[in-house]
Amino acid sequence: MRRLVLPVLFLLFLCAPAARTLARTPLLIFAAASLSDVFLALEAEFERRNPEVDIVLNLASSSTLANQILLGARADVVASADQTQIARLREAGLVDDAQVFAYNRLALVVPSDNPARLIAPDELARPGLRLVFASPGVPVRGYTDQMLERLATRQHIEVEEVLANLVSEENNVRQVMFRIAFGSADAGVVYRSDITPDLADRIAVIPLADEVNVRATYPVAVLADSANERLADAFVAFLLSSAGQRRLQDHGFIPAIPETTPWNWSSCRTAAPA
Amino acid sequence: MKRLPAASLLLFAMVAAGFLLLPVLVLLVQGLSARADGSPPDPALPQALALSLVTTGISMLLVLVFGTPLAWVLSRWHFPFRRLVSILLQLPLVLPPAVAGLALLLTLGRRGLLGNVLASLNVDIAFTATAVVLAQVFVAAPFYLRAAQAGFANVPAEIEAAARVDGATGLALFVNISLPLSLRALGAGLTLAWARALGEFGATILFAGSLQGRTRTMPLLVYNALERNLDTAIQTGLILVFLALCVLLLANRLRAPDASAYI
Repeated sequence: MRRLVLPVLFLLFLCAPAARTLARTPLLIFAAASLSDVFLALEAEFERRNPEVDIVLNLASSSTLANQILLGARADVVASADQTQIARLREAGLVDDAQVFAYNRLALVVPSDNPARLIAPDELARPGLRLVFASPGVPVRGYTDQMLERLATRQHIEVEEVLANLVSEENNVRQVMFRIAFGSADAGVVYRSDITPDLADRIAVIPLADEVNVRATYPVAVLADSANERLADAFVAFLLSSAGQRRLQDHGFIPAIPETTPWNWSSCRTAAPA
Repeated sequence: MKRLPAASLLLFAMVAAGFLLLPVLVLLVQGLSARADGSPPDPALPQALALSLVTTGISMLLVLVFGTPLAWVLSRWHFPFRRLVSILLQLPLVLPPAVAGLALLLTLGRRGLLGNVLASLNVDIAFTATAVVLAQVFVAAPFYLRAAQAGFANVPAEIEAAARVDGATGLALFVNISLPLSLRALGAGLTLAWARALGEFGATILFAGSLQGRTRTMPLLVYNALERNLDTAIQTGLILVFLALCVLLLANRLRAPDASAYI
């Protein structure tokens, strides 16, 4: 029996962090893949302010998240990269109302050495180009298709010719980014916020004119059957607060709530002359 | 009192069997009921099935042509570190497929070790059916190698010795004696390798990408269809279950006489 004491103590020691986690209330947050970095930062900040809460993030394409919830996955909060997925959940009676917490813009990205020598978006129809988009159904693909329609009416290119250049359709926007940052494909369409500092030097951005670019809308909703509705509401409030909005802006998103605090007015004024 | 332990064993056995069988059963029922509502199948499904059958067919041909000599060399020739080489070649058996895909990408991808060489020859593998085949061969070949090595090892030495006395040497010995005597083992290994190739997912999606009709095989379609249409995913899964069942029955038949030899 005495031989068992040390191993058992060792096991208990290993379990200690797990026990600390168990003592906290888990808050299940389903967030779009493009929100990965900013939500990790928000998780840390929210947990620092609310030590009794343990945020558990589930990051995937918004369509995957909606499908998981429709198939019965438990979640407290869902943050989507388009309204369509929230609408699907609303039709099923799983969420009541959603609030827009951020916007985003598209970015046409190429590997930093630009192997296809792409300089303008109207070249996307050039035969032989190796394009990677997200799969139909994934929000960023919906926005990409809108962008291609606008491009087609302005630049006299055929959407079909662009789509003929696809070599792979990925399940979320971060995988598109991976293909470009890894240099496997010639060009891809992601969100501006996906150009994170650690990837910035591996890719180059081809400018998209404002009238061609598309605005992505990010709604957030608390699930109707959330077991922690109060905490879920608190997280949404945090997301919409100036602290949350500022954090989103730092990560390349466009805040949805107009800034009114003095701090931001002054920063706007100093930025203006440039 | 004496009957109690047996009863509790039965309980555990039933839980285990239920856990293994129920999910497949649910998939079966859901798939068949989805089919019953008369909606035409997603056109991506027949394309994925055709692609899967063609690529795994080519993969198995490559495994046979290159794997059989390798298994023969490993079971007959004596050279330093033979056992180590034999074990290292089994690594893909236990390697997570995503790691296999990453390794292939780093080796044969555009920026990979051999990528420049291939580019100078104007060969571009990434995002093609060739990449699908290479991923399948990489993860499935060890199943065949293992079975083939064991099969060759089980050929009685005295038969080969007798053939040698009668003048058979080298290739003739291999083709006329060892190969026919190991056919059953080779068949069983090839069947399992085919099943593994058919189910290949992680290495394929990383190395070959996913595009309908070009690189989106059945398992990739299951994953992709989850974005759009759950019914397609279930139907694709149903076909894969059916194919897997056929493979198991075939492999079971082939290895019947001496099951303990190589599994």
